Amino acid sequence: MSLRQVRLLLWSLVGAAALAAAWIALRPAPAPVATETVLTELGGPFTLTGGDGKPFPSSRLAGRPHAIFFGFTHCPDVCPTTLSRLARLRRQLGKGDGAFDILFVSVDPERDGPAEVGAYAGLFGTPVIGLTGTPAQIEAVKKDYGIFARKVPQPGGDYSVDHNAGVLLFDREGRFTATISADEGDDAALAKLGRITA
Amino acid sequence: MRSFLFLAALALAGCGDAAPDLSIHDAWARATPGTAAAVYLTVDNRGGGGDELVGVSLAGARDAAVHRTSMDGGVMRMRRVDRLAIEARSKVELAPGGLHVMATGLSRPLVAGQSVEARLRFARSGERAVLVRIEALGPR
Repeated sequence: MSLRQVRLLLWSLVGAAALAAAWIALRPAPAPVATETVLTELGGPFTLTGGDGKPFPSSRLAGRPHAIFFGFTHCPDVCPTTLSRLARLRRQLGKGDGAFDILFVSVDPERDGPAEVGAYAGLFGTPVIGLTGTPAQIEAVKKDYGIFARKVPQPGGDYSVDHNAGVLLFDREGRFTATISADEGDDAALAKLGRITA
Repeated sequence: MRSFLFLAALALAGCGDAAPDLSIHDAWARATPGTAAAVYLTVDNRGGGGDELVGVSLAGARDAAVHRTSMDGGVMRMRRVDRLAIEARSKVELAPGGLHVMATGLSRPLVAGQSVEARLRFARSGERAVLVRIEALGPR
């Protein structure tokens, strides 16, 4: 091999190395490992009991966008606040009370029977579907919907329930779409409600 | 001599253990079917001394106590607060999502439009009565 050829070879090796280095430097960094898993498989069929004491199958929600909030009627602060806010947002959305269903599912079936959730749901001045069930039914729904709830004994023999306080939004196909959290602004919440009712 | 003692006493009264000067206002609660109710209000302390809210009662409720709602990674918790400090020259607000009086064992539901009496017991200021107006749930 002539000197010229050797030089050409060496320079092309340099060139190749430079390209390789550039490629390594410029390719997108591997995605950071997520610290939270997003449950895209949230939801599932259920049969609970409505405020009228009759079975309420989830099939009744087919074709209807809906917002589900898990709480309990002995919750004096966050639950009424959240449901009132949801009712207000539905009014603000401007598509009528039928735009999407608001469901209140009790995570306290021992104290919340059909009468309790029915009376509670009826206080909001706008359609709210109150649901409860047997402890086993509620456990199954909690698992499907990724809901955490835990009894906390209080002095005096009563108990409180720690629980997720987000509202879960589902589109008309029954697919989990988004959550509305308590510290989220109205604009963001309305945008999400607009999407499921589009 | 007397005027000196008088002035000295006046001077001493101005510092040290000053007294709280509380006013309670804007007390309201949401209508409830009768299981539990949350009462919200504001305590304004215009005095130079602090105080503590150590007891609450609501007419028609078997038990009432201050609780604090807190969010911990999306999970809502509610814990009892036995003594709520009201610092000198400050305001403490009990409002949705935070501090509130939780009343349980209601003998009757709270109906929007009505008023119910609450009694607040303070460590230094004694007992104060306040009228709680009941507001409707739902969109306003």
